[in-house]
Amino acid sequence: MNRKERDDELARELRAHMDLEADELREQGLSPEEARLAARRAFGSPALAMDQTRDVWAWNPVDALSRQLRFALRRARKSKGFTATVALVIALAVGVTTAIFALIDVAFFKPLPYPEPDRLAYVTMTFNAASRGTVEQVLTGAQWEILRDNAGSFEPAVYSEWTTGVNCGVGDRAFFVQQQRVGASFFQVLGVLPVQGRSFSKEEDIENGPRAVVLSESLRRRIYGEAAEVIGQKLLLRGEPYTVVGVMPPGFRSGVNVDLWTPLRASTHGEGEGNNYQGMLRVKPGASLSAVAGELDNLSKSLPLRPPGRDGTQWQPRFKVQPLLEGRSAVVRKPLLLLLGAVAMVLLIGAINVGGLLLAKQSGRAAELATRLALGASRRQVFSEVLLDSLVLVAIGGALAVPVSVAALDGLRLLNDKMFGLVEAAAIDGRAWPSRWPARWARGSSRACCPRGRVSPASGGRSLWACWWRARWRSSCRCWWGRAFWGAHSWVCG
Amino acid sequence: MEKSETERVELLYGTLDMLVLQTLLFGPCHGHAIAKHIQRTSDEAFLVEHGSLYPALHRLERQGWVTTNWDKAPGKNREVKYYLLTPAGKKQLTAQQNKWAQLVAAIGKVMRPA
Repeated sequence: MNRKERDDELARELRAHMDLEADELREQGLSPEEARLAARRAFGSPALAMDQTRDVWAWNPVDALSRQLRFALRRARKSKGFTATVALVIALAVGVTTAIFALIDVAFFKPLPYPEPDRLAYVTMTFNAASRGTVEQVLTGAQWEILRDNAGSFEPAVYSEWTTGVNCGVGDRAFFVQQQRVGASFFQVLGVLPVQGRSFSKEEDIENGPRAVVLSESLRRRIYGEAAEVIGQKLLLRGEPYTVVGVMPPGFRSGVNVDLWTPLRASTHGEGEGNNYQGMLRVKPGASLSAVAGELDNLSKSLPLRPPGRDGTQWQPRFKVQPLLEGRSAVVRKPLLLLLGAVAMVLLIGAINVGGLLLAKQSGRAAELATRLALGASRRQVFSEVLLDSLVLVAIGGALAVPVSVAALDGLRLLNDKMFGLVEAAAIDGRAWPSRWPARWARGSSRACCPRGRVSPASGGRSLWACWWRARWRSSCRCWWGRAFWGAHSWVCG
Repeated sequence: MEKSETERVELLYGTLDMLVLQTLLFGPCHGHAIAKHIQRTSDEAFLVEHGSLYPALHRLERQGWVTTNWDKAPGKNREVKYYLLTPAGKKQLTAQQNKWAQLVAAIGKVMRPA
């Protein structure tokens, strides 16, 4: 028997019950009309009896929910203006917050798309002077050479994080492409090698060496289409001939948006005299990041001292090593956290607005709800209905938030070219969605922000969270926003 | 004889099913007659609410302790739904009666120590 048939039968059964009661009353001398009314009174609410009987049958929870859902949708349709306002507020607040969170996720939490990302580290130089604090800089050519020549438990690589737009000529066609310059060991250290051909040789990475280029898969497709063999093909970059030696796997990213890579040819003169090189390393199997940090500390002692400044300040150079994700995102950390603070405010204001609107709407229904309670609806039913009303609005707002967040992410591209590469990698996906934030933050932050705490033997029996807190506190308690952010973070994530 | 509200006793939770099965032991019955029978035999102490009776009847039907069929009410020109005790229902009734007897005996011992 299906639901409709069972409902019909139940209604017929209850009607028969009341008729039998009326028959009895008529036999006792009441008029037919009086008997009918008295029987009805004695029975109570048939709707309530039907409702309670329906509960017995298994389909009921689903059935009740779908009925209430239909009712909620009907009510949402009836007050179009209210629904649109609430949905729009939710869409805006959640949309922009999601977009920013997608960025934050890529910058701080999402593991880098390379094998064993925990073993990758970013190397910079710090100069410390007792009276002047610490200055952090990327490497010069000479510093890179010290790192390269004294690598023990790590494999170092050097690259330039800046990309340059260049003209690329192939036959009679020209393409505008983004070029990045990387050292010979760059791909090997990242752990991703070309799918076709090879990466740069040492000879190609020195001045006046053979001119070689590695293409991204998307550029290979753009230039050569489906042609199978591209290794050895010639192309012109800034008018100079280059030979294609490799093609990277599809989806490979070196942190920024790049179409092709050429050898960096790091040297100690020219650009190598300034702080122009980014250093990174991969910890060799069996070693730990803390061991590498110790090794670099020793190495720092052999670094040549800078000549004292005019005021006599003597800067003490030291290699600083930090997880690659953290190091690479250091530049965008401040603007991103500021943006996060701003959108958190937007979210809060949105939530307060929606709360106020819903409260006003529901208090307008007080008379209706009282009537329904009087007619026999249970408190649970009324409560779930009010809840479902809000959930329908949230669902509509949430659905609208998806295009809003995509548009917001597009908008962010115009905001800051430093963030450009980051925005390219960010996507509105399951990771960025609000329902997953707390878990993401709890898991991601311990992974992304505490590798040092985790690999350090000194961490001993301390919990990951304790390490995380120590690391976080040390690095962010210097500034007020760090304190505010991490305070709020711990409050939200428990 | 109508009892006042204060003289009425509330049914103990879970006992309505047993009372319905006991009523059906005397033969097939419809909802109206079952309610009347329980009220009459309890000297109007129990007022069977329809919001409880019909869920109970349908619960028993779902569990296979009763079956149903529509038939003419005797002496009346209207069809009513009759509930019939099944063999499983009889077994269930015996089990519930035993449990009930144990419960009454145990409570009796506590309330009126020998």
